[in-house]
Amino acid sequence: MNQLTLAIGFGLVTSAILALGAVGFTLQFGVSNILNLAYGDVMTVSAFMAYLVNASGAGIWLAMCAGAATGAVVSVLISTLIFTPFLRRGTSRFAMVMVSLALAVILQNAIQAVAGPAFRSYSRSQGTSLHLLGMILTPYQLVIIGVAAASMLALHLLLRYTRIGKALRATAADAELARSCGIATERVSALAWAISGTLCGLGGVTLALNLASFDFHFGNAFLLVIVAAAVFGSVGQPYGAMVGALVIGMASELAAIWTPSLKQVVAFVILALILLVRPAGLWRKSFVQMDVAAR
Amino acid sequence: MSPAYQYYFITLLIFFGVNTIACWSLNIQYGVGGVMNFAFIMFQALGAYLGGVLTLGPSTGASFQQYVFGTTLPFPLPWIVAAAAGATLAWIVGSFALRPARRDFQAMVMLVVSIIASTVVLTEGWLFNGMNGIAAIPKPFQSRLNLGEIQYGWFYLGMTAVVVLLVYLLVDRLTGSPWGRRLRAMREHPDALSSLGVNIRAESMKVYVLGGALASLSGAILVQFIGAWSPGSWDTGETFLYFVAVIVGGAGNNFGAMLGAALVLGVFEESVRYLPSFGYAGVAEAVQFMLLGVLILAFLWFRPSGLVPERRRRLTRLLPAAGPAGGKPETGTDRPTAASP
Repeated sequence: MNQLTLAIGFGLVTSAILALGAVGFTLQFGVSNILNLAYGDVMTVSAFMAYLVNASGAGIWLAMCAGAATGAVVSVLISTLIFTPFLRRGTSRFAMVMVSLALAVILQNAIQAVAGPAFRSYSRSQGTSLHLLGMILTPYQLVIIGVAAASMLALHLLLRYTRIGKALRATAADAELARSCGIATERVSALAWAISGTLCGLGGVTLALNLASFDFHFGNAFLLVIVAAAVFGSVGQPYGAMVGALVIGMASELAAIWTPSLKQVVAFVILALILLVRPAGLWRKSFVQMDVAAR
Repeated sequence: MSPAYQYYFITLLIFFGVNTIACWSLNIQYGVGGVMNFAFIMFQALGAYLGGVLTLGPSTGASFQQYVFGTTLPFPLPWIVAAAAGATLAWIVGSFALRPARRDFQAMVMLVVSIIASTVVLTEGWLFNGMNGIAAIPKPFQSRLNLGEIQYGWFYLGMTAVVVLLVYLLVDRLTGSPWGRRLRAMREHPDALSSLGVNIRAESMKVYVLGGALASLSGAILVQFIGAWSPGSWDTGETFLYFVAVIVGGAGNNFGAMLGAALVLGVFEESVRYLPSFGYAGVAEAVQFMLLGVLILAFLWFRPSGLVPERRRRLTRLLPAAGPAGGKPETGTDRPTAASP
């Protein structure tokens, strides 16, 4: 078996998970201008909720839906109960990062206190692995790729062809102006948090599914790869994040051919290089300037 | 005072001194300059590591210790080399992490750097001895002074106090200097300052390097007292603790940062020791961190400027009493400038 094609297969899976995470993360930033460092922990919460649903007898797909819903609900709650009040109070962008870091610390330690330090895994049937062009993928990994591709396509269609997408882009471009044009920016922003939260939840469950076992810390640990992908593709740009996810996911799995511990280091090296060459990230064209194809 | 309590007291004071230096380091970066160093603990850990191996001597592979850079340097050198190494690391990290214009992006990149660094240290055992860290670090002058445990403690406390005083003189002078004023202006209005021809990235780099050196110095002082270093106790989460200390004490105010070091890193951390333990191992620590999170949220909500807010600086004496085109001279009025918070 060729190691290279194998690694490409795993790279696709990692990229898919990373795309879900990074696009959600970057979308939150694009609309709210907040770097949410609690994002990784919301992923963990979603994965644990999916675990609870799964452990109570439901199938893994239902659990995945529960995880996605949890991500959406928790994200909207965080946004409306914490971030918005702090912003209204005139908290600086500086301090908002601290607010999100504090949230991350609270969430992560709450999960640890409730769920304990044990590693968990979903109960599921072990399907037969599929051999495809030299890649070996489990059915679950194929579904992960499918879920990610479908989510990205859905997001693209939403942003490009619907009025909601247009409103989202307008809010991301200039919330004040959008509001004065009659767009209910608060509702739009809540919607953006719900969408990104769904992606976050999906990312959490698929990551847990792919890792085979997870604990209270795994989402936060994955955040750094998400950040690398998001910064690579210019923070705030969903399409950039997709490209970033593909590049960093592939590169880290290819590097793992030599040493598995290289995975994260490669993500970091790519991040450092892109910052040296293009501090604002790869993606030039903002998604808010996209042509409106809808009538 | 019984010897055990005396030793405990000395240890607390030395920790307080070390934490004070650390908080001043973070304060001049974050509180004064606005550079959110989310990799803070990495610099302290580096200083601590160097402070250890530069006195331990070359790695022999014996007693399960395997490390790089081992030599035996005479006393003040390990501290100085550690500080220099911290400055160098800050320069390297800053060269790419300070490139995004937005401070929160920089913070995120530094967070990534910090996490990667701790992962590499933990997984690549041949470099820094992995999880086990290093131990049995000789204390400066201990063999020559021939003092008892407690007398030596007092001696080390004295050395720490001297460094704290020197660092205070440095940071106090710098924060009050024109450069300090420039840093505060950079924190408040980077675009405005940039339009006046100041290179924001270069100024950020200067304060980042200075803070890196001080953080490493604090680590070296700490490790030579406790005599052991392990990456587990220098985890990325610790950075959060220092930020809480600086913000609770009062970002931008050196006295506030010191108060934060005493209250958050001293009283709050130590008080957990006296609580009855409950649940499985780790629950108490998790609850403690949750409380810290709530504490910082409460402060950011009710008192964002901290317990001892930054002093409002008035620069009347520096302004011309009357400009040629300024009409009447405005003597006696305190005019705040753009540099005041």
